[in-house]
Amino acid sequence: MMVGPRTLAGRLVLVVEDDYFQAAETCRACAVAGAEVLGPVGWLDEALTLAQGAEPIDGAILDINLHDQMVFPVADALHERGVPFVFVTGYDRAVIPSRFADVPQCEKPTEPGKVAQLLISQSW
Amino acid sequence: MREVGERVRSGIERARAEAARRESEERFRLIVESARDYAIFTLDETGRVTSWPPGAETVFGWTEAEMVGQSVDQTFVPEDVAAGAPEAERATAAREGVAPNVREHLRKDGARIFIDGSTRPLAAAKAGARGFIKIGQDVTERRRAEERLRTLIQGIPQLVWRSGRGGRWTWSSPQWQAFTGQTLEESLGLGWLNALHPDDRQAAHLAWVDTEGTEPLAMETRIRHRDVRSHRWFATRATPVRDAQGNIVEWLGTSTDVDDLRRMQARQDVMVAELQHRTRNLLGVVQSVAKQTLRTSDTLARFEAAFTDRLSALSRVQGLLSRSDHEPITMGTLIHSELDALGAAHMPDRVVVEGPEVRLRKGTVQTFALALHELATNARKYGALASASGRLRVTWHIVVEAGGRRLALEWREIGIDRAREAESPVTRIGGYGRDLIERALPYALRARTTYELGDTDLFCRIDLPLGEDSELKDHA
Repeated sequence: MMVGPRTLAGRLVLVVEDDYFQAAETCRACAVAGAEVLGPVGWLDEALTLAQGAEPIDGAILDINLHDQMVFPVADALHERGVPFVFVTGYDRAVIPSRFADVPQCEKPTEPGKVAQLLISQSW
Repeated sequence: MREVGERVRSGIERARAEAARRESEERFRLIVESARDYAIFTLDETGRVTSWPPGAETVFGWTEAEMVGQSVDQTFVPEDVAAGAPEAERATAAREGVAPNVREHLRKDGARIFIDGSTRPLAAAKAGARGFIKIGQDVTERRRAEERLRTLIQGIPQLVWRSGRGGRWTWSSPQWQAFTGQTLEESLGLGWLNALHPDDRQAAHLAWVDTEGTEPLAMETRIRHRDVRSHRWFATRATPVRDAQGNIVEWLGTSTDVDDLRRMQARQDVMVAELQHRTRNLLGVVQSVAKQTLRTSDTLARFEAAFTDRLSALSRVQGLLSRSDHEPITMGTLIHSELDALGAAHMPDRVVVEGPEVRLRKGTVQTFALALHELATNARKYGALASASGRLRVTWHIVVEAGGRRLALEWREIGIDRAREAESPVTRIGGYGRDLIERALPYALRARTTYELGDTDLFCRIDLPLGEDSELKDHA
């Protein structure tokens, strides 16, 4: 599935992913779609700081396991702000708390373009 | 005439009475003699045997000829004879009308048998000739069966108990008492509920109410252990015992310790989820390695060589990770694993590897190993190990900082050919290896790295956090 040209144009997307190369791929896909990237960050504390910070985040792509810590506090912070987001994970759906039942999930290995596409369908 | 008539009549009556008496005695004799499971015999006042019917012979083994006139003492075990039990029994029977005789006895063949019976005084047939009748049954087999059952019940690891309606216990096994610390009395009625975890008591009681019908009872509850004051999970099963009419007489129940099982099941669930996560993650890593290699390969042949090489490195580190529960991964293991794969083990004069035993966090191993692989493979193809004169020195030490302990690794190659080295995909800026060292390690492992290429040497320093102090200690 191809991402439409600049479908995320002008949007600020938070990328949370603990693997450098996968983060780089995701950032590239976001850039292709026209988004500006906040991050990427791979550690829970850093992600939480950004999610609770002053940046006007429009959407987020969240890897679930960050160096053996679960990303859910970040998801909660974003949810509170009304920021749409998607999960990227190697885990089964079962590990995701039920309060995030409506949040779309991309299973690893992912096609970064698809993740961006999913985020677009979530928000705009 | 009348007198004659009277006499005849009374003679006939006497004869009838006599016949009736004889018939009654005959009936009694038949009963006694056909009762082969029972030893029924008589003694005189001094304990000498006066009659010994076939039943007694069957039970004790001695014949009538062998026993009549002999002392009954020989049917008692020596310790009871020594304690005066035969006399005491007769005295009790004479005084009370009956003396229980429930004890071990001796058979002719010396075997011990268990008799359940009694001794009673005989009504005097003739004045002064009093004696006793002993009736007893050989219950040795039944007692052994009961003994075996008791041994079984008290020997099995399950906690066993008996219960009336509504979970009102009538008995608990020694195991129950040993595990919970309750006395038998404390466990009876609904007392056993007190040994359950407070949160499970109501459910356990309700389970009994619900099963009031007919079905076997099944539930899992936590039971408190007497010593550790902690609870363990038990699976409880109870089956009703019914009478001939099908009414429930009582319940027999067991509680089986399933705590380890539940723990293992929970652990297994976690492991399966973890395995799922790791596999998918690994595929993600393979995908990004493929993409990065593709970006930096100018021909398909070069892509194939580099990709295969990197997959092998990834595979080696999976091997180390899968054994890491038994063999912690140390800095030395990781370095040697990479150098050995390149055949550097055969160049001891040109390769020096030195550093303390430092255990690495599992989470850091994969990325770190891929970076070391890039350095090692680069040294082999373009650097110190590609020429005859080059030397490689890998050393590391621990640095203690305010933020915690860090591992500082130094990779130094001397005697390299810069022109050749410049072709290396590691050295090329934007190449996969250099990206890995200069960007991925800082990003993923919070490492600090430097990579410097001189005219004849190459220096790379990787400094990363070690985590908790326990890393250094060996597992017991």
